[in-house]
Amino acid sequence: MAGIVFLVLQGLLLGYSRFQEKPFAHFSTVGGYTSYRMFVTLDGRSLDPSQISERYKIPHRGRTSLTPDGLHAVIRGFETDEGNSDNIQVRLHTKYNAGSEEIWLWPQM
Amino acid sequence: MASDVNRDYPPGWNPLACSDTPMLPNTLLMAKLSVLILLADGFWRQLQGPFVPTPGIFPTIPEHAALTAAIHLVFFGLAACILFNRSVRPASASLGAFIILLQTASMTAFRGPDFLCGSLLLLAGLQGPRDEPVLIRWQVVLVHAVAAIEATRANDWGGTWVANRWIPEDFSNPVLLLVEMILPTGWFGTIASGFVVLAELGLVVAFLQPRFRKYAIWGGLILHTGIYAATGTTETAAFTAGLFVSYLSFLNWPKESVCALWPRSCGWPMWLRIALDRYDFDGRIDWPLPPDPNAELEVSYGNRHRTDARALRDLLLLFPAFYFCLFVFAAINQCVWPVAVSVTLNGTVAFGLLWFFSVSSFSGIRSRWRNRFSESRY
Repeated sequence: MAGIVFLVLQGLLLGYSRFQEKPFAHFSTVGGYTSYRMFVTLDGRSLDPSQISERYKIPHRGRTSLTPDGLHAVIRGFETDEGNSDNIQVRLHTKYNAGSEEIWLWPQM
Repeated sequence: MASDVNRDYPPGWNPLACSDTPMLPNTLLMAKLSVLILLADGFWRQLQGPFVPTPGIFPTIPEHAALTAAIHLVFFGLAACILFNRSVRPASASLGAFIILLQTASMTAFRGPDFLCGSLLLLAGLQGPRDEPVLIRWQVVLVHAVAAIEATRANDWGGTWVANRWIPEDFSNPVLLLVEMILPTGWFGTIASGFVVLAELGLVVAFLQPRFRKYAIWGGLILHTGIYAATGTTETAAFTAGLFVSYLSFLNWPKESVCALWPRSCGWPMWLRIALDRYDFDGRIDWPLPPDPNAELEVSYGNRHRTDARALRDLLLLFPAFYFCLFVFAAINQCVWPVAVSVTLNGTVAFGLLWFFSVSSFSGIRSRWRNRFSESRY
């Protein structure tokens, strides 16, 4: 019984996700991904790639199955919690599939 | 000496053995291969913060060493239980539930292949003791149905081949790029997505009909090997492996031991027989002396009786070590070589095996057709 409930819930989750503008959950490995580049400055000095990946636990550029919103949440999550006393500026370039490039800034104005 | 599968032995510690547990051997094999896929795919590396909850109402949990260590401990502990045949059903259900929970709770941990492996583990654990893996068969149907629905996003299908080439490490298949360039704008995506939608829907219908199931498995193997060969990314490799592992649920694993007669001059190499004997960790194959040294290879179990290529096909399909070898070969290729090389090597082996299995599976059909033609001629 639990197995059947799980299968139904799984179908609903993935079906719901497919009709989102940018699906957050999918089986398809050619379906959706975000390409991104990140530029970070701390106290006016720009951080190098290794410092960025150490800070956010993700590479400073690359391809991810996270949506752009997911990437924003990674940075926002760290900066509003652990790093909220730092004078940090983040510029994140994201591109979802073949879409146009979007730029997101932190701290948000 | 092989004996009945329903024997009442305690399960051994050998990770390559799949008998003597409350799970059917193919269900346990599926669970073990799912664990190996998760390990090879580096799933444990994603089990660290920040954990970004999918429903935006919950706050993000930043990285914390103690939390990461606890999650790693649970993951590796349960994985070890399954690999070493300890309390396999509870361990498999808990590991599956743990993975699904992490995947749905944290966007940073969500990956299609890992979600599939997690749900295979959960369903394998939830299946009653010694029951046929019916839930996993439904999972296979669901995966194809969801894939068909997802593939209706034609823009995604067209764009991904050429998108974002400003990332140097991004791989795009040169043949597909050429096709996309030749076709009018937007056609490639529509054609690719239309084809995949129809193919996946066809597979759903075929999987639901026991009569067509064999062809559905063939179709699924060919279609997804093709998609893997076209993209070649680690994510596609892991997903394809997970999907092929789930097809094991359709194997009719015999309840009794397998009897193989392998005469010296049957045409198949003797080293293969020695390897099959030595690496039969479940002790499920009996090797009586063949009465006629010039006869064909013969395999019988239950009410089935196979000869020659079909006999070898059945021996391999019911041999857990065969799948572990294939997995190790594919995973090493995928991790060691550049994409183009690993795709060529894995694709060649996959299509080679498909060719061997098709020759052995359909030889009966071919000879029936040949007979029909020759009868009608005279």
